Amino acid sequence: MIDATDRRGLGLLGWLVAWMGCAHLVSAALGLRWVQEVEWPTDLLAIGEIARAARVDVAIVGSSRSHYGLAPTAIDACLGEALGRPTRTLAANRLAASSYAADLVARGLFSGERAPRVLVVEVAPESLNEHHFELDYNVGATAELQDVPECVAAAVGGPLRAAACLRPFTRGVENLAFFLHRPFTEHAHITWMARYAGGGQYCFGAPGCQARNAEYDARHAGRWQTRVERVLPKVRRERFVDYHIEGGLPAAHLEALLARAKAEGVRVLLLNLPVSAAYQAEVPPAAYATFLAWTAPVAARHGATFVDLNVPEWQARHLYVDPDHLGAGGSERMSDAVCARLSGWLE
Amino acid sequence: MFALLLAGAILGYAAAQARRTHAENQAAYDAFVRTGVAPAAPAAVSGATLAVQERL
Repeated sequence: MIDATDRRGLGLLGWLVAWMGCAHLVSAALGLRWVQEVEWPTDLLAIGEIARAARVDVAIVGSSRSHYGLAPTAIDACLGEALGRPTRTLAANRLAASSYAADLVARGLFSGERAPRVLVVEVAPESLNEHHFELDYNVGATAELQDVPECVAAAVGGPLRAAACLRPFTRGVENLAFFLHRPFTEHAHITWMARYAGGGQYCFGAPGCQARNAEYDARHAGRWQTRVERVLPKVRRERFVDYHIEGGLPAAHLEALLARAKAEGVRVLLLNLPVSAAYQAEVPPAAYATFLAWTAPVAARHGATFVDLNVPEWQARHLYVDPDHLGAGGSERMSDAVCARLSGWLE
Repeated sequence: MFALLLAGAILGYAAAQARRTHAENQAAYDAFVRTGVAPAAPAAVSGATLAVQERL
């Protein structure tokens, strides 16, 4: 029997569902699709919304490793010198992005009419793990309604993971709250990077960039030691538990990204960014071998180029702000190395 | 009725803020393309930034 209290409760639930649906639609219509709670990826809001007259030359998708390690301003300076014309590079990275998130960001921001000439896609052994340590977060932050069935199917046997697949239904409310709670004026440097430097953590060449980079690295001088103590002990048990690539959502989405790029005439560079020797020592060798053995042939099959820069010459301590993120000096050097690979593609 | 008004007010305020943000970003970018000059980069770290950077 349903009494008056039940009806009142059901009425409240009805209001809640209606509000969430309305907030989702409004949030999407307002372009707030890419807002999230950690402030640096909100540069995607500006990256995604700014209309550009010319086609983007290079787009970068990946995680915080790309955010730190690849500087659009440095890449453009290098490409401009090599090609004798100005180029436009954009970076749209997300926190803890697996290849699942990288594909959805590329699909949302860099496909169709907005397809770049070249897409640089960060890959790492963690990013392709079927049991990626932040996969639920990736789904919540990036999946669209159209991605829910696939996600639920992949989550069979895991009720919590299946529940995470429903986040696209609630993200509108979250994004509105994040957007209204933290106006971007509080983070002028993030807005500046999106408008004038193509995103990313470090900038080079523009007035104030050198001081800005130095200030950032100085303020984070203790970050290396903190992460050595807090992150490295968890790498094996968090990021490489039950390591498997084939058949997982990240692997399927990396292949989807490669297929879409090929169909749209976009050249893809799959980039294995380096980590420090201290971090690499925590990566299980078997998992790392699996990653290399899977990625190279998949890239070749789709006509993409796989470049492995996670080699000893890139693993020295002084290049890093913490064990798996390059600092300003490493970022500039890495950007030049990527430019050297790409300049021939853009002639 | 109050709930509808409240919802409308929140969404209306969000719409105004979003439109303003997008317009400011576009105008700043267009000026940058037109003149080739960017304003000086602001400081990289705010208090709020420092608090959340630990998660990255």
